Order: sequence, then structure tokens, then C-alpha cells
Amino acid sequence: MPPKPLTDTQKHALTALRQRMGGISDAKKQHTRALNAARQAIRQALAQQPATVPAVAQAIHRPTHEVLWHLTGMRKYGQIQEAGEEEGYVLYTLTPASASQN
Amino acid sequence: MNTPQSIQPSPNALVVGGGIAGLQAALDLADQGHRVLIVERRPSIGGTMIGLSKVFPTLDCASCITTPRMSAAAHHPNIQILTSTEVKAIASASGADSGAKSGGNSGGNSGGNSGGGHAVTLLHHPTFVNADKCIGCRLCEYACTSEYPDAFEQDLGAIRAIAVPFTNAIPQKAVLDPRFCSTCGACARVCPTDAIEYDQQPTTLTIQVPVVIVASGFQLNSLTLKPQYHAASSRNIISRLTMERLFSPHGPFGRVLRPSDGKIPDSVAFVQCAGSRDQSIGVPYCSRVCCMYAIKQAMLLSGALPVADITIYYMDIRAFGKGYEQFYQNARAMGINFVRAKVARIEPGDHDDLNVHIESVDEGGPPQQRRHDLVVLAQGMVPQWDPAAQTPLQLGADGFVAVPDPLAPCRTNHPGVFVAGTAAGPADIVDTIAQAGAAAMEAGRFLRALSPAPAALAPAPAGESYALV
Repeated sequence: MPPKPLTDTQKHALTALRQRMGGISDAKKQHTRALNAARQAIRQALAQQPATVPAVAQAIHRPTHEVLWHLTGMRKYGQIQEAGEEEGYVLYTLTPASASQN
Repeated sequence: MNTPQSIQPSPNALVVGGGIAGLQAALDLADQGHRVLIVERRPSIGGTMIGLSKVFPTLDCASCITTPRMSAAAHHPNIQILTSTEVKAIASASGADSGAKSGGNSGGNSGGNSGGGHAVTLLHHPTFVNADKCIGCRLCEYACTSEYPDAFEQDLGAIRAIAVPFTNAIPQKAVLDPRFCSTCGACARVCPTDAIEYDQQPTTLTIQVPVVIVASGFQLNSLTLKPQYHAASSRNIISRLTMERLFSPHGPFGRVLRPSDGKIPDSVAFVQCAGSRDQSIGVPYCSRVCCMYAIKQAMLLSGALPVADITIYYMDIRAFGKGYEQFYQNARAMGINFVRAKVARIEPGDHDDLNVHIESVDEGGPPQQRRHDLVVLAQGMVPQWDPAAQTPLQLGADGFVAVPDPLAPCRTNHPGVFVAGTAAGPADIVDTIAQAGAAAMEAGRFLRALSPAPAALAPAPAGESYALV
């Protein structure tokens, strides 16, 4: 089912919720920007070949724990999958669906 | 599942907490014909136990024990459940105490005509999703673009701002967390049942109930309580509940990996008594379950990582329950290293490894340093909820709900308020379930004293209907 446009009631409620939250904080905006950038970089790194957490971290210049967290989210939502092991680390690769969108 | 608007006004009993103790107590009371309201602060029932992998000493699947009880409670005609709801106050209604103490009829009875007892104030937090309309399809979750650390996964996994809390959550309803929502409206655009309601508000309601069972559970004390363990400076020093999630096939990594870099650990240490039996951190008591947790997790690890070196550093092993000693001996026979030593300190080493400094009691000799990939600290169990400010309940010196009469371990200082499970102190699952059954029996007896008529199978009063939840 294609996305529906928001109704006027929903738009008003959304605006009211945003006001209740005190607007979208800079921290939240920064988090969203960083999340999107990291996910895009990880997708590009994995598009070449399967890679381990340290390899991805080195490729995108991010800490290993941060890369692992992103990979857990991507794995949970079907964007990556395991592709074996290498030197004590799990190899991750894009799922076919995610690779086709890349 | 209920909403504040659908709650019947006069349940016979309120159960605070939807973990295994609360569920068991509620089921036992409901099976006797009493109408029960379970209040759970989280968006799903299941408590701590639904996050565990397996239980000791049988190594049965924890979810396979918990989920049927969750489902039974959710579908029981005598049980209503309010999730995302906190208890803000429990006060004695006028005349209730004297009636309860004398065993006379104070107005509360099993037929739902409870005039006395306790006035309980509840705060229901908005989920921004209409629970009656939501079908749990998760299309909103898939459309959401905000991801944050998932508390259910001990922050190792990711969850979206609107999501079904976890795989086997009950209710299977999406919940929007406004702290993380970017208010983009994507969830409402894709919801096939128009269940998203951005204008939901917190709701306060007060109910009158003759009986309360406190089953608010426990939490672990902080990993960083002991600075000499340096848990704040290493992601590879984890709690036993984090380890449970690593074992889960639905866990954050789907396997056991080191949180700092995803390495498959080949050396894992369990440090016992790391948050209890220690006057210096204010937890002098034994948390009772840590030894068996460590043994269980070591056995599971030896299956998941057959070549890994697994060591348990302990002061003494307390295998007191039925079948526990055999379980411990089995672990020894499997090759788990048991080292009697109090760990002096843990220091981060090279490559995210950890150096554990010990003085072995059995081997003697000078202090040793041993390298491990991952360290699991046996933190202490402390109360989840402090009811002292909101209720008339007395607490013990340990902070758990006080039980004045040791021969009545479910009775509190307040008539009509009972306690079950780890709200009263550290307990394993077996003892928790037994206590919950005992609390339900005590509560049932209390209700019968208030209403001499047989409680069992009492019909709903005219004009009220039992809502299927």
C-alpha cells in the first residue's frame, strides 16, 4: 500500500507533538545526520565485498563499536546478513534487497 | 490489552509488575475467580525473564516458560493489563484497614463491589498508537528512519522511534517513543489502520482495590560501582543480563560477540560477587542467583564457543537449590575453569582485551594477571522500584519490601498489600514463582475474609462485562 498523505488532523497533532517536545533538538538532528551518513558509508563499504567490523571501521574511519552498533540495526531490519567468518570476526554483506537499492 | 478508558473500575486485586512473579500471581488469583488488574511500566509484559536465554538448572528456554504465561494472562477473562503505566501512589481508603485487620467486610469483595481497600493512582504514558486499531504489522517501524540504542538489548542493539518493543512482546503493538521521534509523519502515512495518534496525552486514573500484590522486580546495580574494575572504560565488561541477550538468537548480534569490535571471544571471564557481598558499595547481602547464572552462562558459552577458554572467578559457589549442586559439578566436568579468587582489579589492555588481576586462594603464590576478551560482572540485585515515597509500605535495610513476619513471607506491614518475587529480595525464578503463588493464595484468603460469599466464578456485576485483553 503506497503511503497516504497526512490528514489535516494528523498534521495539527504532529505540530502539537513537536511543540510539546520543545521542537527538534540539535542533538536529535545531529544524531539523524550522523546515522544516515554512517549507514550510507557502511552500505558503500559492504557493496564492494563482505567485510568484518574492523575492516568496515577502517574503511569509513569510524570506531569499531559504533560500526558494530550500526550493523546490528542494519541486520535487524534486513539490510545486511552474515557471510562467514574471517580471523575471529564475522563477515557481513548486503542482503540482495539492500544491494539492489544501493 | 487494555487502555485507561477500557479498564473496569473495580478489580479485586492490583498486581504491580508484569514480570514472571506478577503474571503468576495474577493467573493464580484470576483462576480463583478474582478480577485482577496488572500494571506494567514497560510497553510489554514479561519483565526481566523474557530477556533471558535459558534457565538453570534445566537449561530450558526461558522464553518458552515466560511466553505462555504472558499469553495466558493476556487472554484470561479475569485479567486486565495496563502497560506503559506506573503506580504513582497507593493510599488506604477510609475504613479499609480496620476492616481488613478484623477480617470483617470493609466493602471490598470478589464480585467487583470494592468500596474500601486501597486507592491506587496510576499514570498511563501515551504510546501514540491506538492499541485497539494497531494490528502489529510493523509497517510503521519499517518506515521510521530514527534508530536509537535499544534498552531491551541492553543498548547493544538498535530500535526505531516507533516499534513493537521486541519479537515476542505482548501486546504486539507499536509504541512511539517521543524522545527519539523526528515527527516526520512517515509512520502515520503507512499505517493501514490509522492507528497513529500523535495527540495522545498522559492519563491519570485512580482505582479502588481491596488487594495489592507488589511484584515490581529487581534491577542490577551499576557496572561502575567498583572503580577498580574500570567498567566505564571498556565496552567488554558487561552485565549478566547483557550476556543473556548475546545468547539469544533474537539478540543484538544473533551470536556471542565482543561489544567493542565484534570479535568472537576466545577467552571469557565471569567475576563473581562484583556487586554484592560488599560493604564498600552498600550491598552486604548475597544476590543468591549470580553463581548459578555464571555456571549456566559458562555452560552455554562452552556450547556456543567450543574452543573458548571460560573462567569463573569466585569466592565460594552457592548452589543451594534443587539440582544446583549437580549442575555445578556438571560444569566442572565440562572443563569450565573455576578459580577461587577475589578479583582485585580489571584493567583495559591492548586490542580491547582485559587484564584481570587476581590472587588465587587454591594455587597460592603471588598475585597473577590473566588476559580475557570479555568479562561478565556478577552485579548485585537491588530493588527496581522504591515504593516508600508513594505507598505505606516499609522497606528493609536492604531497600527491598520488608516482610515483618518471616513465617508469612508474602505479607507486608500493610494489610491487603502483599509482595512477591524479587520485590522482597533476591530470589531465583523457581522461588519467585513459588512466592507468587503464595502471595496469590494470601491475597485470595484476604479477599474471602472481606466477602464471606464464595469468590470463585463470581459473575460480572450487571452492566459490566469482562473485556478480553
